[in-house]
Amino acid sequence: MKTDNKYPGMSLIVKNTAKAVMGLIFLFGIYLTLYGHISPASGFSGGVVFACTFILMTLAFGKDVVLKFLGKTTAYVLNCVAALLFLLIASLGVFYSGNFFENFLEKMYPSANFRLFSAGVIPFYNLLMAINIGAGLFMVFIIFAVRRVVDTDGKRKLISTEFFDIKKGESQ
Amino acid sequence: MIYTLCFVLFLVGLYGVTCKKNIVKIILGFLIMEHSVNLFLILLGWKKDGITPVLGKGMSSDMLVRNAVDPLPQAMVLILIVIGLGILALMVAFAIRLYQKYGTFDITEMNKLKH
Amino acid sequence: MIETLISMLIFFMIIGAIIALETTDLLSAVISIGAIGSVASICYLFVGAPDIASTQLVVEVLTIIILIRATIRHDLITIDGDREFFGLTITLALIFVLFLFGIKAFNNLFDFGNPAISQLPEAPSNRYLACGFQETGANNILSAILFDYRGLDTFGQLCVLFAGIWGAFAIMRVQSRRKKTGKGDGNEDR
Repeated sequence: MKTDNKYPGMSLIVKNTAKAVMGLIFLFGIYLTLYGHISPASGFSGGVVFACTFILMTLAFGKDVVLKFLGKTTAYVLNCVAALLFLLIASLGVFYSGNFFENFLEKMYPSANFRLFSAGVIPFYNLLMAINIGAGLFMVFIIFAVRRVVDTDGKRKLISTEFFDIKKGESQ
Repeated sequence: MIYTLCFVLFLVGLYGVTCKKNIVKIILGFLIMEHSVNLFLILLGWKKDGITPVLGKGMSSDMLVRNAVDPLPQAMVLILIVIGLGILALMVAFAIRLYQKYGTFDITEMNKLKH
Repeated sequence: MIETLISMLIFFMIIGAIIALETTDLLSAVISIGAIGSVASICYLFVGAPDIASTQLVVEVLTIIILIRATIRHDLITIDGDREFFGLTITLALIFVLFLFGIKAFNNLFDFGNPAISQLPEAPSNRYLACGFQETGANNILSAILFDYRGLDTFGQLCVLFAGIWGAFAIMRVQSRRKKTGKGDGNEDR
């Protein structure tokens, strides 16, 4: 697979198909996440679908395009902040209702059932779980895609292809 | 019968973990064991002519108690599947580091403490 | 009826597992793992767990991508063959003994299609099914269990996933934190 510098990534057919399909996949992820409490779906599968969208973008267009949308630092921050907010909402239940992981919103403001925003804090938990899993898995994939073991005169090294040009053999 | 088939699948994975030389094959053995355990836990909660534990409009909770399958193993397996992905990432990272250290995926070659 | 169907599907999974472990081509092995996961997702659909099925399918895609991306790039010599004969024989004998014990143990379980919640009325799942909708307002009982009744388990999952992902990230790190000068890229003694 020879890549051109001007047009990195895969061929034209793959790129156009990915452009057409990508938005729909992302929309499906949003659906799975937001309807987690009223239909057979959950934030877990929604998060993995989010990660799959960005992975499809990486495989089709190259990593420079996708890192403009969702940088590595942004992915780290999203992963950590979603986990901390999960813990924060869980511990808000202690202050408002007395129990860890108590559904305090549903007890204070009981809402109509079968709606998008019903069931208290469960949609927020779903959303945070999806953000955490999507950012984390995208992060892992980017790490595996960027690092590569090269064999330079008998010694193998693990290099990062972001800052390293294989043809020249030196850091940029 | 059906549980025994799940256990056979688990044993095939165990054979891969214990008897294979290639480290990628060992990782695949772990994945097979994970699949078999997940499947066993789900099958343990199946009720005859069972329905999904999701309350539709116009259904009462009694109907769910009478007909629905066991929701507790399903929730735990949903967690387990996603954890498996994280563990897989960790195992693959170890495999790549070992390849960088020793130049091979063969675990019988990896007997030197210092390269 | 459904028992025969699922038995056949698990039989396909066993065949796929043996192919994945015994083939010499690593790419074929990874694709066989994908086939096993897809058949498992079909099984989940038949036993009333559609959300597990969708999650399993999506996770399977990601598993194949990670395995291919991480292992195929290194110019592999295909390593086949097992370990030496003596150890292999002992291991297979032990696995067979384990199989006999397993048959003994699985005969004591409840029958397929007649789970514990229909025989024990005080099982926790019955309470979740009966009161979950009124107490949490979520009509997907799985969500009610995951984020309300068993929220601490979900939090443990989050911690394990967090540790796994950041552990993989730390193992794959290239530069050492301390900036070394003249000693390569800090990659040799790890």
